[in-house]
Amino acid sequence: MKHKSLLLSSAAALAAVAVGIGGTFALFSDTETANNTITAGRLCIESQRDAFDNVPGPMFYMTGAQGSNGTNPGRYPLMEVSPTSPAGYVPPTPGGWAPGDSVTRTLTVLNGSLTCQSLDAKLTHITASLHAGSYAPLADKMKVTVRAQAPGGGMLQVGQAYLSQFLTPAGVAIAYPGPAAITMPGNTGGGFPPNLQMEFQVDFDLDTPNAYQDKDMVVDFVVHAEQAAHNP
Amino acid sequence: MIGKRLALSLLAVGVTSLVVTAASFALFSAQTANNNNTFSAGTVTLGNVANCGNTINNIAPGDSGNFTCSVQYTGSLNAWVGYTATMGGDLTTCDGGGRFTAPGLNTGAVPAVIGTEAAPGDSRSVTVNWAFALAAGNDCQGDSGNIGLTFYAVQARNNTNGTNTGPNAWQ
Repeated sequence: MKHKSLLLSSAAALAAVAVGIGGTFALFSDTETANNTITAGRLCIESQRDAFDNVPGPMFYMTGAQGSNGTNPGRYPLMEVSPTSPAGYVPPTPGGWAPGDSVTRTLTVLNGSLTCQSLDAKLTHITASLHAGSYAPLADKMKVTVRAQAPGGGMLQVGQAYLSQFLTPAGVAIAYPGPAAITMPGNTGGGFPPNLQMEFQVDFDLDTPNAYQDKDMVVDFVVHAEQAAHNP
Repeated sequence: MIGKRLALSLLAVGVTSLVVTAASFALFSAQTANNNNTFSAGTVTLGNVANCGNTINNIAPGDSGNFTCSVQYTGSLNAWVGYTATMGGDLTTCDGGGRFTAPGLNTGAVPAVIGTEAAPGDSRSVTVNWAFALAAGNDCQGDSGNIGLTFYAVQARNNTNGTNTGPNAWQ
C-alpha cells in the first residue's frame, strides 16, 4: 500500500511537472487594439474675379464674349458695353488699349471651399503665362501693380513689376509692406472659406511706340500659396 | 540579445531621421489661376488723302481760288487730326517773292488741329485759299508753285490739353 501510494504520488508529481513544463508556453493573456489615424491636411486655394461680374472668367477682357462665364457675357468689357453691363457703364478702353491707359480689376482669393477644408495659407508669389500667338513685347509695356486687403482694412500694395517679370519662372514675390507675409486662415473646421480681396492694376506705358498698335496678348495669372504653419 | 536589440533600435532611429530630414524641404503648396485675360492695343491710322492732287494751270495776276483736301481717320482710338503745309516753287519767289500766297495756311513745324476730336471713321478737311497778286511782274510768267499738305493723327485719350482743343503732344 505504501509503495503504491508512493508510486501514485510520484506519477502525480511527474504529471504536474509535465503539465507545468507544458504550461510555461500558455500564460493567461489578453490583447486590446486601438487604431490611430493621422491624416495630413490639405492646401486648396481658389479664386474668382470680383466686382459682381459673372463667374468664372478673366479679370481683363476686351469684349463681352471674351469675358463670358460660359453662359453670359462678361459685365465689364474694356472696349464695349455688353448686354449684361450695368446701366451707365462706360468702357475704360474704347477702341483698345491706348498708351497711358490704366485699368484695375479685382480678384477674390479663397482659402478652401465648401468641399475642401484647407490649412492656413501664406500667399507667396504670382506668375503669369502667355497664350500662343500673343505679342510678347507688349508685356514689357504693361506694368502690373498688385494690392491686397490689409488686416486692418484698406488695400496695400504687395507687388509691382512689368508683366514680363510675372512671366518668368519665379514670377513676382508678394508681401505686405514691412515686409509681412500675406496669410489666410484655413477652414479646417468646415464652413465658408476665408477670403482675401486683391486688386490687379495694369498701366500701359505712355511712351509706347507705334509698333505696338493693334497687338494682342492673352495672359493667365496664377497666385501661389504655401502652408503658413512652420513657414516663417 | 541586448546588443542585437540595441543595434536594431539605433537603425530604426537612423532611418526615421533620414525621412524627417528629407520632408523638411517640402512644404504643402497650392495655386489658383485666373485665365484668358485679353489685352488688345488700339490703333491710330489715317486713310489716303482725297481731293488733294490738284493741278491749276494758266493763272494770271489777280487770280485766286481754293481747293479742299480731306482725309479719313481710320484708327480704332479717338484722335486729334492736324496738318502742316509747305509752299515752294518758283512762283513763291518770283518778282521778289510774296506774289503767290495762301493766307491762313499753317506752314509751321507744329501741326494745326483740324476740327474736334475725331472718332473712328470721321473725315477731316483743310481748305486752301490761294491768291496770285495782281502786282506780280513778268518775272513770274510760266513759273509754278506747289502747296503740299501733311496730315497727322495722334491718340486723344491721355493726350488732350486742358481746354479740350487739341493734343498735349503730336508724337
